[in-house]
Amino acid sequence: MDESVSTVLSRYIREDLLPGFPALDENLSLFEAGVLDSLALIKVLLFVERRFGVRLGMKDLSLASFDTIAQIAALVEAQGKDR
Amino acid sequence: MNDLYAAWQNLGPLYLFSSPAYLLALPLAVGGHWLLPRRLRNGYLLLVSYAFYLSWDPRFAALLLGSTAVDYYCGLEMEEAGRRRFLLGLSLTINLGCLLLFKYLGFFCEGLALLLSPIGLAPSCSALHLIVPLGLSYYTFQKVGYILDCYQGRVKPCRQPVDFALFVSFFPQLLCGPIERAGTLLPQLQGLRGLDGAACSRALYLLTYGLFKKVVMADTLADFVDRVFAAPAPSGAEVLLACYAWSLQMYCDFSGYTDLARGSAALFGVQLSANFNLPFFSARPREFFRRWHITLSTWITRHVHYPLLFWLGGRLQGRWGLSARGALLLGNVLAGLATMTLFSFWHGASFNFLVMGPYLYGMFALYDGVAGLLTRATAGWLPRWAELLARPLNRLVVLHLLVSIFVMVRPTSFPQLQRMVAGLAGGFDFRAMGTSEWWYVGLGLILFFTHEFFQYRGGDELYVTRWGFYRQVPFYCCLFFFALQAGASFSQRFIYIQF
Repeated sequence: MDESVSTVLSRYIREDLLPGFPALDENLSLFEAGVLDSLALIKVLLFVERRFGVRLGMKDLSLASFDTIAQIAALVEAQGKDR
Repeated sequence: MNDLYAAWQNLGPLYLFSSPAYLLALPLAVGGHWLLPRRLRNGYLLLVSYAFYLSWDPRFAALLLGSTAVDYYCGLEMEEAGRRRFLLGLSLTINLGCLLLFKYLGFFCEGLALLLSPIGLAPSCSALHLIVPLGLSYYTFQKVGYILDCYQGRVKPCRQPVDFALFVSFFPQLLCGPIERAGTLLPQLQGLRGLDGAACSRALYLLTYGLFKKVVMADTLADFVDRVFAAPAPSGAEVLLACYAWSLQMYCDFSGYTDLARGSAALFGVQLSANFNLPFFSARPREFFRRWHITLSTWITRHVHYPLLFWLGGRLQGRWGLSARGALLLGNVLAGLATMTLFSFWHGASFNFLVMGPYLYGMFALYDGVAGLLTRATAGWLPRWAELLARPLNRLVVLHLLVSIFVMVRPTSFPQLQRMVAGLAGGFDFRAMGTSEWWYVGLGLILFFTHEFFQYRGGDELYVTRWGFYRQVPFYCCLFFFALQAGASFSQRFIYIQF
């Protein structure tokens, strides 16, 4: 069975972006928690585009839409449906 | 009665945490707070906070009260959907307008006069150099943070006027921060506060160590730094030492003040945020911003950098064929430059601070570029000993980068800067410097760095408070010994108050 977008994202953050970071709640604010900063944001964007084969435009991205794993997963899933 | 007043005046200004007047008044304020019934405590603390502020200049308490009333009203009314944008605009205009008027108008007018002088126009700006109300930059940012959080729905507006006024004017953090978020401080002020043994131990440590950093370290270093910067022809050795001493003085002055603020607040059952986390242990320049004046850098990152980054990204995508990634990368550079400039210019309305922002950003980008290149070029073939040597060398480079940034803001005039550079160019003869006054500063430095090293290694700022009683006693005795040696020179300077 394919892993959910949230699971893949969570693992990427804990294993590649911030190795050793404790388990992440889907609704944790990644910017508030210091998981994402401006450079990490670009890394996550690149990872998402490569891993899930979607193209996210700036119109999809904002502090309110890219702040939690659940929000990023929703964006990816919405892009997947559009294609 | 007059004698009593004169004796009180001799104890120094009440609004400075290291003055005897403050250190005597604090236990009285704390005692009164805990003796009162719970429902009266916030009102009492508000009165104490305004008395504290009034002791500096009664005129500006009206400004504090008036702007607090505006933000209380704007926050409350924001619950109605139709007027939210208008109320946000109103609050921002008043808050930032006050900041501009009192802090920056004189500087901008002088800049304009300088630009107009070649064509024979020289407007007088002396009337525009107003007294900057103490704490204006801090409480303005705290109120703006509250309004933005209300607007974005991150916090519910505060309905109790006394609680809100106390949130703005709580005296331990009124003049120099930490700049607290509404979601962190308001619940503490509105909830049930208590004072237990752990809080008392924490308060004792923060107050004592804060005094040590301020009185022993910062004030002693300040005497030397001031003397060198005022000298008509300082030697190279003096200038070099003064540069390091100034960097350490800034850190000890501000972090000492913050510790005193946090210790004072702890006695009222309130935990203020840590504003420093051992900044001189930063392994990378960017890390420094997560360790120095943390509450300001967090505020600017949340309210300026990220919104600007997304806004710029949206504007830039599609231009010159930029993808979302390219737009974010370019947006990040521009937003970073703007953020650094705001961060440094917040500290003071002078040319030094205006230039410091872009310099900071340029230096950090250069460091990241060079360090990245070296890491990639040497990956896999460096021997183990060289890797081990590279780490302290890297920290040494970062430390000197930071010293070069601090030094930028110290000269008060161009001729002074010229004298410093001339001194450096004249060579370094350390033997010519007297050493008799340095012994206890040297011992203090050893104690200070050893203590900070243990804090860094254990990742625990308050490790001393977890010691047993008999281990704590010698630690505090050491601090008092150094304070006595410093001659209880309760200085009236606090560098960050002027910001």
